[in-house]
Amino acid sequence: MRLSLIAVLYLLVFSGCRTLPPCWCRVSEISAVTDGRGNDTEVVWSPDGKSIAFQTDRYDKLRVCVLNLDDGKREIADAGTGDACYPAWTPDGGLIYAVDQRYGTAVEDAPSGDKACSGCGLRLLENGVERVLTQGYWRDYTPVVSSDGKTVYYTSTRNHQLPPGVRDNPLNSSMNGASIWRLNLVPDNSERTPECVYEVFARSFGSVQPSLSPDGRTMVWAQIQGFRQNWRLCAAQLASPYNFIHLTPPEMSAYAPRISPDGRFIAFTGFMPGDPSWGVYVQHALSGGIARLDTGPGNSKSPCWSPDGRELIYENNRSGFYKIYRARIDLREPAAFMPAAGCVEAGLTGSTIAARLQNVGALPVLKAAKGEVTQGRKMSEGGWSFRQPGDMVLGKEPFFVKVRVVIDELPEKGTQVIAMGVYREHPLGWQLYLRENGHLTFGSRDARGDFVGVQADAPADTGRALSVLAFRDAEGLLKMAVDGRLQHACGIGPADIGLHHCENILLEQDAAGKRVLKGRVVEFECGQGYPASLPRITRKRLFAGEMQ
Amino acid sequence: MKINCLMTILNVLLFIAAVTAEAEERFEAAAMIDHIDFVHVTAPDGTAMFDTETPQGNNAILDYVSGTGANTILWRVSSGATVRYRSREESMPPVRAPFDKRRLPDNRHTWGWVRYYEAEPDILRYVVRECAKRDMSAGAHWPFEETHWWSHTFGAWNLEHPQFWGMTADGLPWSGRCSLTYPEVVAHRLRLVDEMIDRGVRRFFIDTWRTGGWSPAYEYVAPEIRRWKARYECEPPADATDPRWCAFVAESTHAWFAALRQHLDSNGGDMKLMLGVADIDMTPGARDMTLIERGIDWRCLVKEGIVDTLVVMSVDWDKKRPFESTREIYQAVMNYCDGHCRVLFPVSMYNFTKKGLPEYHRTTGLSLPDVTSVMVRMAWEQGADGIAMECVDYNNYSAATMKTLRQLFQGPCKFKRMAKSKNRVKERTEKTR
Repeated sequence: MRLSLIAVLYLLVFSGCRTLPPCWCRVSEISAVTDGRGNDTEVVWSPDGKSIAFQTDRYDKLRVCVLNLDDGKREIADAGTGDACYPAWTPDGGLIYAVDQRYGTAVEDAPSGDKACSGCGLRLLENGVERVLTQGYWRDYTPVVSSDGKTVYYTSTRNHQLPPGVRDNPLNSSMNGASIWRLNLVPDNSERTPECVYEVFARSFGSVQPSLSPDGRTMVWAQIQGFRQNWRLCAAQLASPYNFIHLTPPEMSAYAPRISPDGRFIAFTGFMPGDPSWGVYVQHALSGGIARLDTGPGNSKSPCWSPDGRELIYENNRSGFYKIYRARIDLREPAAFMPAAGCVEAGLTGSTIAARLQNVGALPVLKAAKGEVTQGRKMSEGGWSFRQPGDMVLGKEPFFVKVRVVIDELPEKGTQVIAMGVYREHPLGWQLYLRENGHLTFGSRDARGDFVGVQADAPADTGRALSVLAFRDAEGLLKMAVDGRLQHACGIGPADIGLHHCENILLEQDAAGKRVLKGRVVEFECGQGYPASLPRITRKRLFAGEMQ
Repeated sequence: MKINCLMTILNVLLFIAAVTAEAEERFEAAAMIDHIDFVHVTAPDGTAMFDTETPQGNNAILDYVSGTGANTILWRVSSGATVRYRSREESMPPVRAPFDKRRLPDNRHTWGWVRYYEAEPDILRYVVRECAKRDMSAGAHWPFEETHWWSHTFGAWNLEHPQFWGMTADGLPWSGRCSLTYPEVVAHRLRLVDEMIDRGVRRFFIDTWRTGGWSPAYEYVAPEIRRWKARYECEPPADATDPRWCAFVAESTHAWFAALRQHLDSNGGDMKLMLGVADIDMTPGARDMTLIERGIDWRCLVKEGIVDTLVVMSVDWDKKRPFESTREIYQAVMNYCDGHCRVLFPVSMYNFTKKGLPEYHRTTGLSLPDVTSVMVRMAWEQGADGIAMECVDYNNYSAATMKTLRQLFQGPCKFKRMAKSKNRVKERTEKTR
């Protein structure tokens, strides 16, 4: 008996959070708020706690309804000019929602002169008057208002729209994506200029439904990085959104996050292998511990906190339609720090330089951290080869490549190698190069050997020394900084190949004498871990106000 | 009097012989149509020529495609898993962007704004009726497990049922497709079939070339792993291209096709199942790419009589002997099928496999109309039941090529080369089900 108890305690402490019984997170008093035909979804709680707003399809089109929780009276809120969806409250009780307007077929509705065209834009309902906030031949949706009421953050495809007849630009694809924007909510319409907060152009890469911490410093959102990946929650300081961390593991599909009113928890929709359906999950923001709430049968999705943080409201389809349910939630700080599986904190490790380029006379050498020196050999087109360099075991751990490079000429055709690591595990273990469009690109491989890469935001400057820092983080995510500025893109999918046996480091050309750099590498370093110059983001900095 | 009587009897006998002799069968000219590809076609004044969400627009497409002499239309019924007609099965959550946060919008101009799933009248129902009026056979071109490489084509039912999602060998679920190993998924697909039957579809062309991302790599789901372990008492191979794994997955896909066959038969009428297969190489010992990359054993499906028609979408011909090697493969295919099913050979302007008409044109130097003529005649000469054109878009078969096709289908290739003997095609009614 004693041994069994010890075993149970051992499991409770050392097992992953998702297998922990949710002793720190429980729901009770579950009750239906809406019933009848039609699907009621995307519910949000009013700031005064007395009402909810949601979208419903029980009418001829999608409508936003407001329901008084005391007397159950329901009113349609939107003006009926299109399909209204994704309501969000302002602190003073106004409503912002998206309206998708279609006038005819796609051909009829395509933009042409002053004719109205299709689009999904935001509306603000205040004092019974609906005003247009955004509109155009794109989709704006999932709005959320900052706690001071001054700004609305939302998802937009505004910059992703392709011109007529363009199917796709594989080098910089935006055709299946979405980004995060914001708009100042000032009384004067003329001062409302939408601003892009966070965007990445890559195929099937999208960022949806931002949620802000109460102090407005931290943003959490759902992101999918490629059509073979799952939706994951991401978090970053609003001031530097591209330096984000994942909050949920890759094997979990997670979206629709909402930070609790006290900023300590995040409720979201999630699915882990083995779950019976979509469910409402809660994550303790600081520790990363997650728990699936027992909301009964059916899919439970899109949770929203009550203003006092003691209840959750969400949609569930156990009745055959999605209806709104509310539940009391009891939360405590988890007893043990237990990060969700796969959620590795960025920046917790230091860095070690494995090899640094040094010039010895006219011949460059790679000097390893332990002192081993690898002589450079000049190659046919003027590049350099460093065979069997020591200490270049990168494994599956974070690693970085840091160069200063002068580029004389951008490629007209083909690519130009700046530096590459040839490994026994893969001849293109990692590469830093210029691609045909002139953008710096850092590439590596996933466990299957498939390419994973990240591209700089703009073509590289020529004629001056550029500082490039490319790295793989603990989750296998590839990122790059140019002249100290973190680039917007990141690699799609994890570059989780294990690189153990380095056979060659090549600078300024590839092994076949092709892809020759029109320029020169001035400095080169490669190493394990995170380089000291890299800004590190941790949960503590995001959710506990810890300063960097 | 006696002579008159004898002559009458003779004439009657000849008449009876003529009537009972097997009628000539039309050589099938099947055109695959992906109507979304007509969206951006404009007239010289810039106006759209085909509003593909309207009856007029789709009529115009049929008019255009008729120019090839096609007598069968295989109409694309889905973009990935998002269907192109008003479907109850695929109605919740709404497919229209941006109503499902899990589906990123299609941001292409006009393409990304079509709403085939909301069009009135129902597109599929309309097209089937129109084809009947034109004395054309109409079928559904239904890609197998397709996602079209974009997340905006993930289906609604698919997104709502993550418990059935595909799974990789390293335990990552993929929201692109639900696995056919689950009976619930099969039931869902059969409900989609019922919707198409309700719209008058009697021919189902399952295109195994268009998978758009799916493969046996996503079949490491719990039921399959349990089944593997029960049989082999070990973990399944991590390499999804392992022939043992692919053959194993093929058992489940076979079960799906068998269930589909049974479902079609139970609906009575003349329901036909067509299977599209690409990259066919009949060389003994050659890798079967459909088995490796799609987990489908087409040979088994043919031999068991599950498919009515094998649509050969491309063959792995030899560039040093383009027509000769093609002919050899065609002969091998006909020998293999040997009356188990009908066979259509490709006359394809699509060249993703680098084996279509443009590749023959590049290799031989013959003009495209001439290459087309050779390929149609070759199919006819080999005793095929017809040809399939992939796909007929606007102007991809040039006017000259279309004229060549028309002339062939109205002339020397109007009927099949030889009438089928009664035993050559094993009719559905002869089989016990």
